Amino acid sequence: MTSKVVAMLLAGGKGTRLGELTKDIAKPAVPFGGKYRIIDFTMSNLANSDISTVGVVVQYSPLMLNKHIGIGKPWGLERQTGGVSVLAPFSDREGGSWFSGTADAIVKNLNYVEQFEPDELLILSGDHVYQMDYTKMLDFHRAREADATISVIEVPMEEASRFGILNTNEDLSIYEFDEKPEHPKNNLASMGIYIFKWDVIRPYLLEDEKDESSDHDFGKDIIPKLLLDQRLLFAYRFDGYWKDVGTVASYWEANMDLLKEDFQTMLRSKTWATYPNEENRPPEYIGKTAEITNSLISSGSFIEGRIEDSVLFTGVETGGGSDVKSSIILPDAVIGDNVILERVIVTTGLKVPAGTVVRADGDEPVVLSEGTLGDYMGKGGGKNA
Amino acid sequence: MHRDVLGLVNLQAEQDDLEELTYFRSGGSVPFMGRYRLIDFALTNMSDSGIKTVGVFAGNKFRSLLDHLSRKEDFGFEGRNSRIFILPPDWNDPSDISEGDLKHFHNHWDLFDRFKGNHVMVAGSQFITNANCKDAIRYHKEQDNDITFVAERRPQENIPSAQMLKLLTEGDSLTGFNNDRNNNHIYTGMFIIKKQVLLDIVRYCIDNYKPNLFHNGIREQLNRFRTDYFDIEGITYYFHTVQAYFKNSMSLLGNERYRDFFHGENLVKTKISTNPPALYKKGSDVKSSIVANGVMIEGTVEYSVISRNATIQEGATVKNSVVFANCTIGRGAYLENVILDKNVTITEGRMLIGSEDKPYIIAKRSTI
Repeated sequence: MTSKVVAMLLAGGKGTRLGELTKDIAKPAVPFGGKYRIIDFTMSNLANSDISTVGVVVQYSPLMLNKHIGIGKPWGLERQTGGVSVLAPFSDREGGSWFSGTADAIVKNLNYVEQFEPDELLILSGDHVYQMDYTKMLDFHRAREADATISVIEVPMEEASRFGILNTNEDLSIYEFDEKPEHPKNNLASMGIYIFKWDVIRPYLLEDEKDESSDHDFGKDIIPKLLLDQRLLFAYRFDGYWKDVGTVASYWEANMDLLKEDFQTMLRSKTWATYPNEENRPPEYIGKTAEITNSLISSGSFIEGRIEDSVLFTGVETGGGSDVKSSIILPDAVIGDNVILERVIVTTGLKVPAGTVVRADGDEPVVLSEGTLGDYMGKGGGKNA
Repeated sequence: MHRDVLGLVNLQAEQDDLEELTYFRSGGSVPFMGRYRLIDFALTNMSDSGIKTVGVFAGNKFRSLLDHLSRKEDFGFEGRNSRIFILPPDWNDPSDISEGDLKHFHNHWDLFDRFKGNHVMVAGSQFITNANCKDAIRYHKEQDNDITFVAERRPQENIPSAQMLKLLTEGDSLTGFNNDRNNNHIYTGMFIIKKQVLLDIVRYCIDNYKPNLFHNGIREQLNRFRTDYFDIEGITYYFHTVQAYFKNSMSLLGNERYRDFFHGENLVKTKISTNPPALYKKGSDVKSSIVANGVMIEGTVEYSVISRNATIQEGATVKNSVVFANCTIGRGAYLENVILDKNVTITEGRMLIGSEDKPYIIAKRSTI
């Protein structure tokens, strides 16, 4: 690629709505899909798009994330020039402070971006599950000589008010940005993926940094200012699977989606592989009493009992007589004998004692963790959530 | 820990006697238990024993080996000073008069010359164990032995039937080797040797036109050296025939066996490749089997090994079989006591049945 792109992957979010799942780890590092972490999809998209200068901005509980990303080896992004850098908040002679918004995170890492003298800045989020060729979006951006291009996806009209909606002209140029509009004019939602001309966006970022009333957010502050100045902004349509796994319910749904016929091919694609930070674990052992249907099982596991419509991560054990239905079992969790789980997310490494019964009643799946396990134990027939 | 020991996997000294499985690959690169190759166990043993530098004498069929060993880190050889040297036949010395596996020693002399340590641990790929050789090496050093042979004692009823070397001892000292069926003191094919002694033996063999380092240089000259043995304790398997290969695979399908062998303190290391978790579709019925990443199952699988990216279609049955990577078993097909080599396609409704003693082997890339 002759033109230089620097990608900034924003992975510092707290993911408050994921509750127990993000208790000790950042949302992008939450395990997903049997052997991945959420951020693996974006990292793999970068690798497959051959964009190899990547700053991964971290802030909230980054221990696991730092180790996971490293210098980008699992994605082949450890490079002699560019490569992957994990960017944490720091202090310098002027002092230091936390990153306080998406735009602020870029400004505070201005030195990182500028050393590469980029033509374009690609802003990504580590919170989404999707497979996308960024080079196609870059081609689109360059062909229109846009100042900024925002990737959009069609969402159901009735859900549009939950998203940032872009109102466009027929040629897909953007004339208006509606953040979570009460009465959306259309259903093109921003995916939080932006490409900017670096020399255009740079002064805007510096300007915004000085504005004390600003939240320093790309969607809320920077994009509206670009529109106000009649900059050339385009919407780039993305067709395909895209999910913001922001809540426990959407996290559960996105995992379940992997079991649907339509999406099974997503992980199995030979041309667009998703790379985890793979461990050297032996193949799973499926025992004498196992009955598995419509489920994903991962390496290092020992399976007995009934597993139905579920996603089991690496190193999981399930006991005989157990019945696991529509559930997600995170890495190294051990499910004892005769345990019944329905619509339950079992957190990493949790030992669920024999005979435990947990069924989720309402819309929300139950997250079973060290902290919530006690609520379900020794209750005979089990407590419904 | 034992960084002063050079690891040497000598595939050249072995017969490729796993029939169709070794027609186009060396014994060391024969796939095993879904994602491994036989050489992985020797390499894991070495890296777990604290060995940092390993040479592999590769023999002629080295293509799959080069690919398999392309990332040393995957095998636990991590760090700047850790290396795997893959050494295929490379004979360009006009004065070379060496024969047999001595050709490797002569032409890859640099491996030994440049290594700063004083010991070499030699292994093959026909023996695997979940034990490592830390203690054997320590014993070798403590006793100041020239050569320490790694052996094991098996219960009388559990002596492998294949022809293989056993240790002869008097008191605690080693007097020789034999092929006695009833001798339960089995030689694993591994030995630890002082580097200088090894190099002297190599010179002796070459100067005397001897073709086999172990038999001519060591076994026939045993009383020239300070020799000893060390019995290891662990689960062990030998791979001298296809029958043994098949039997070993089936033996590891016992839950406890599999756990003990593969989930011990140290995991067996192999090339890390990326495939999605296995998908068990509606209608699948899998029991007492091991299943690797990337597999998709819609049919019935019982007492079988299903390797990476294999597909078992609806209504197909795989029983007591070993399926290598990338195979497709078509709808309604029936397999029993079969070994499918890589990339085999079994078409719809086909039935293949071997026997426990003589598994039916389907060669790589065939469609049946």
